[in-house]
Amino acid sequence: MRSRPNTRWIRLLGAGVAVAAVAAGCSTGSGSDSSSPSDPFGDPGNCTVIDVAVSSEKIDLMTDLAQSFNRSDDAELSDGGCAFVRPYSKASGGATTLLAEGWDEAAEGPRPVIWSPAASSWGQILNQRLADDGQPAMASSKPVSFMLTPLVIGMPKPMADALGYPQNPVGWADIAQLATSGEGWAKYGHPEWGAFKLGKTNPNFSTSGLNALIGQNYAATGKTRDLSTEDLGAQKTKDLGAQIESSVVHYGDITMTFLNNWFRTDRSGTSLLYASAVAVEEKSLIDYNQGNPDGVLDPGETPRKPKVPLVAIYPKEGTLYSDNPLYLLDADWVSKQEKEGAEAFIDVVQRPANQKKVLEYGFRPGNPDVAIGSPITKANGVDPTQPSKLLQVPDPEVMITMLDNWKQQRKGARVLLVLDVSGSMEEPADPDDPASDTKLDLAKRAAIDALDEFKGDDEVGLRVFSTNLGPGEDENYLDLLSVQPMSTNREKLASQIRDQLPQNATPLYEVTQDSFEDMADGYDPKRINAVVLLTDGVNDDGDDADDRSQLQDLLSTLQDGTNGENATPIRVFTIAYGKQADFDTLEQIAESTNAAAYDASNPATISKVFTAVVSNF
Amino acid sequence: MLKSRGMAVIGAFVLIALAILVRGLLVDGSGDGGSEPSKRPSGEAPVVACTPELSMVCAALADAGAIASDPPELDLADASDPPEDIDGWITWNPAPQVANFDAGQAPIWGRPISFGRATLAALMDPATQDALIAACDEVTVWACIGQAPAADLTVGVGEPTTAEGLARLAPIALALTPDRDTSQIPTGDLIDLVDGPSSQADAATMSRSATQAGVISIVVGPEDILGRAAQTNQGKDRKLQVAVATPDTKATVVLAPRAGREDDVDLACQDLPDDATAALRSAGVEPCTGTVDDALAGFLYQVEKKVG
Repeated sequence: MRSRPNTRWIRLLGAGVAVAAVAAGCSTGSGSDSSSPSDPFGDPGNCTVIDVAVSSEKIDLMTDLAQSFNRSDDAELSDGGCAFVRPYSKASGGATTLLAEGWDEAAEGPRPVIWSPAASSWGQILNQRLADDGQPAMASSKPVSFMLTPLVIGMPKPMADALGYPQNPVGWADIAQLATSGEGWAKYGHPEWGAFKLGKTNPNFSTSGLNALIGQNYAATGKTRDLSTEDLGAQKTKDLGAQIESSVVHYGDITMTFLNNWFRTDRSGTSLLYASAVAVEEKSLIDYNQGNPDGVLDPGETPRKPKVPLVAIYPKEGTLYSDNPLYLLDADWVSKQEKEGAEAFIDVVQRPANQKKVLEYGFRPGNPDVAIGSPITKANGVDPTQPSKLLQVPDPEVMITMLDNWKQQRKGARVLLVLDVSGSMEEPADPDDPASDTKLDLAKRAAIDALDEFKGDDEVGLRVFSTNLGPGEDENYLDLLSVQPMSTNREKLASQIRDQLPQNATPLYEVTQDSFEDMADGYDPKRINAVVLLTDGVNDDGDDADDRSQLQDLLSTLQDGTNGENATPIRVFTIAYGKQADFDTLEQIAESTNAAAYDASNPATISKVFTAVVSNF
Repeated sequence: MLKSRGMAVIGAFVLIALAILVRGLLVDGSGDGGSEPSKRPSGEAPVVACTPELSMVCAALADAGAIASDPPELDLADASDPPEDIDGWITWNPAPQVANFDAGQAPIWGRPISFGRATLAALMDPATQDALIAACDEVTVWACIGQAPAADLTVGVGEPTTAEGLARLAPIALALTPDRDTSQIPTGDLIDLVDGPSSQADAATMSRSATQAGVISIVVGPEDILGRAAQTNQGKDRKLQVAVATPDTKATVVLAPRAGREDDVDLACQDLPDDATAALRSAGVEPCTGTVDDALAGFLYQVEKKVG
């Protein structure tokens, strides 16, 4: 009776999330991929190393568990040797693709013995992709579910209170109503909060975004299972989807972008104006409320609770869990000793003492012998007795249709691409290889490839900047294409990008300020309005005496235009390209507009980074 | 002269012994036509497969040397055409007979013996119980549990394509089918039941899932397994309860020898090593209780065909 997973969807989803997930590693928030095991473990000595690829949200927990294991008698092997478990962060989709298509250890770090993606659906996708290529399965059909966390709608407490939650159950249908109500929060007595704004990740890139999309589609049908393509084609389903998407602030590849922005605006008291709700995992919401929005505490970092906490709304229509399986891979690179050590580690992490650690990190223990307690408590904005309904993961062909429909339903974008064509972009992308492509060559290719992610209805323009541009050689930037629909602009954009040559200096602040203001002049409230700014250097306009005041003026302009009831928010997503790029300044610029800065200090990652940036639209 | 007479007598004995051996082989290999006689050298342990959720039983038997090491897993879907080297199968009744029906005229499996049985029960929380009561008053009858999907409740019964799942589905299928008339099996209702949860799995896995909020409303399985889930801390927090539904229904674990190789698999329940009986208990089975009853095999074969 069960239908065979649809290969096209699996490839689509696997590849899509893979690209983004790897790209996420290049972005600024936590959760970045590490291509090699991190240092906290030290020298394994003569022990058998058990490499463990884990999804980013649990890297701290797994590091903690591995360090305890490595010190314990449990790490002793039957041959008298020892096991040394070494986890590293690898996004679920990215790992799936690498395991299916071949894991290049030089580029991606060691092949894992244990793999723990966010959800066991990734194991199914891996096995299906291997089967399609005539290869045996690598992931067990019955993995140990190490821990769980459900998808929730995170909402600032005052807003949840205004909706009457939890006495009044809230779901996706209510979100749609809020999104389309002309009154916005005024309907609930809070005109000062403005319109309802939703944060939701791109479902082609993020598991939580995909789960949210599944949830909203089920909500339109009143079902909890057997979602069909006919259901998706129903006008009611399309309408609900379009209504919800219309309220989206921007999309993106990781939920931490939203949480970090919320946390930062919380300090200035404007968090309620940035976003009204974000689809996140329960664990992330707990981290946020405990003052650790990205879930990673850097050395010396002290958690500071937000002034306005979040409340987890468990959608009344049902939700999905991320089940965090532990796969001991059935792969030819796994030795007998590694297998023995891995089995010991998997056994150890399920013990009650370690499952209590799982709980400390905000996950629900997979071992039912460990009661769900703090921090999964109402005091932290979550409810251990929820969710009340679990949604069935739809059949693959339904997922394909859902994602195809989303491309049309998603909120349109209005974007100005601002590319640095200064002289330094002429440098080889690989400093050790003078014959390698220049940085500009790589950036151009990445930008052209990323154009494919825009739909025909999106409006995109192109501005390049350097000094002494234009016929009179007196311009600091040139508008090569005005912001127009991609249906007419796509080829022209690609052609213009391709034709760019490196020249002169980097008037970064001026072009950023003017781009922001120009986009604000044509602000379209029905679209995601944004600037994508790529630069490989620091501000260099020939006069460094006024750089500091210039930057302060710029940041003030960005903040004033972004915050407040009558703001016309233009998100400035910045890409710090190459080692000389001024990442700190670019991060300040991005954060001033509640967007995100992306780190492409290794030019080889620019394609992945560009894809991650464009996932915001 | 004496020497040649002696040789003749010895030769006659050898011929008689050969004749007996050949006859034995012919007799063993004829009749059912479903299996080849064993080619296993005398004294070598038989290859016995286990249904996946009973693999610990096989592992314990292998460790004790009672069966060949590295015992394979075998489930209902492949049991009508199993690998040739498998001499016996430890599984849930009546899977061997269902597999025989599936195989056609030549039976694959011989007469099974019982290794023990489990009482089937249902695990649910108080809210589910209330919802069921609203739907059909008496929650502790299988017919009522069969109505759960209509009350927007999900039921974990396993996949009917597995031996364990078919055994768990049996009491509900029986309760919903008038007079066990296979033409009246409520196929749609049973498919709704099986397809209700986001996924189906064995009773141990599903009862563990039931400790998590929202995953599953009711789990059907061996009473002891369900009881263990109810007694975990998360189970207690959720106030999970085990209800033994009526009519009282047992699921029996059997060892079915390969047809024609009955003598190769000489395992009596009373002689099982301690680790094997412990593994049976771990699977929710009380060792060496109950008898084998294939009366439902034909009915469940039809259920499996219609719903699986």
